[in-house]
Amino acid sequence: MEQIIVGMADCKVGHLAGQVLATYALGSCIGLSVYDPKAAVGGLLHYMLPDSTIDPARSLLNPYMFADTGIPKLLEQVCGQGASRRRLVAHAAGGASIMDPQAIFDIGKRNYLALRKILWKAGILLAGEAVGGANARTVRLEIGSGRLWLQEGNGQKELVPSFPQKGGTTWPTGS
Amino acid sequence: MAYRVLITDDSPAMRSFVRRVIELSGFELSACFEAGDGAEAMDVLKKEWVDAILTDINMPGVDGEELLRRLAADELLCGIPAIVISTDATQNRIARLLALGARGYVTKPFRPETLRAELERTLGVPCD
Amino acid sequence: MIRAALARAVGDVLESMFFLDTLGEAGEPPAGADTVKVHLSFEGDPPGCFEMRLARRAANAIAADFLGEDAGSLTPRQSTDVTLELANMICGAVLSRIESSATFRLGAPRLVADMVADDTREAWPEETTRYTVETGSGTLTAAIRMETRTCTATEKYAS
Repeated sequence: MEQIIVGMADCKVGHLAGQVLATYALGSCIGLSVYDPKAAVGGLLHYMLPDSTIDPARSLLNPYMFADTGIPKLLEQVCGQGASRRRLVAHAAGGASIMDPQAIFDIGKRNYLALRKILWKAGILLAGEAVGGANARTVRLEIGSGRLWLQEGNGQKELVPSFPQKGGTTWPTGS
Repeated sequence: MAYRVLITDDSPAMRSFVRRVIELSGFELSACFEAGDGAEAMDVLKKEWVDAILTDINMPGVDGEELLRRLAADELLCGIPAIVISTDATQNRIARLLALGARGYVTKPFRPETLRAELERTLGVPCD
Repeated sequence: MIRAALARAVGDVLESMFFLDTLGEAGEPPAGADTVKVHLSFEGDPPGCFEMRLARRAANAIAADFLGEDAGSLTPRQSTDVTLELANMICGAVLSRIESSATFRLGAPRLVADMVADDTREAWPEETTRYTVETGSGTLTAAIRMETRTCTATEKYAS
């Protein structure tokens, strides 16, 4: 099992069975996981802010810092590895208010709404989510099976069970 | 399986939104009919078979409640599942519409995923 | 209570179907703002009317977000349709919160007049409850006025 770490303002795509994409410390950031069960290709993006117009120069250096530049890049990369946008199963985690318990700046919520707007325009609905609250989260995506785990606080749970292996005739739509 | 649906709402914008949700939910549409009120909906249904009806309630002309009554009174059409999409979230209205035969109820405003869940509950989960 | 219901309705509608975070209440737009105005009446207990004033730039941006399209590709008709539906949904959401045991019926929303740059701000009718938010592309003001009863029981049964 090859664990591939997705850092903050980072994005990784996997297409080999045995790869696991993992991202940690999702506070107000959002971890967006997309997986094509037929192509067995998936990607994980960890972005920090909703809108790149506040710092266009930064977004050129690192598009994964922002939702509006990072999400299109993620989709482009998974599709470049053989995924079909129409088959993508998307999950989101994060968007919490950890350093901002009164949610004055509301970065977590703004990140979440930016995600939903961009996915809507891209033609993708979320299959599941674990967002808001005050806990940091960790997400792991297993490429071979499509299994998705969420760790929050002291607990870990499987958000998405294994999809049927490549070559099967029917595919569930996700959790 | 490809579905034939009828979307009834006096707002063209809402009809577009609902159609988009259906398409993004994984349901393949072989036909998507639109109607601006209950009378137009019944005109469509005289000529076309559909697998599901999604309808608003507050519409000028024949409203959604009257549409449900007419569907329930028709021995062929009464079997078509109807999902109500309405701004009215009052318990009285919801109970009345479910009693008239609505299979599902989604209150505006709604998340696209909420309508998808109601579609899956009513029609079953789509298969690729 | 009406104002709280109005605020909540505006927030819920804009968040769930337009993916907008409104960041709390904002000031009403200055005189001369280019604004679209929608009006609708409703029957209920009590009946009343609802009005929404939306910055024109915001109307186009919001419509694009709702339809999942680029703002530049929208027709004026599409923008208007979405604006009308937005007013319809906010009004319905408010009434569902404040008339939870009664049946209400919304009239069709209508575009009253495009308020083009003008030095005067049209006054709101008396007893109107209003709430304004910043959408990121301009302000949205939602206002509701419930009709007060004009006939007391004593007057009704007199003579």
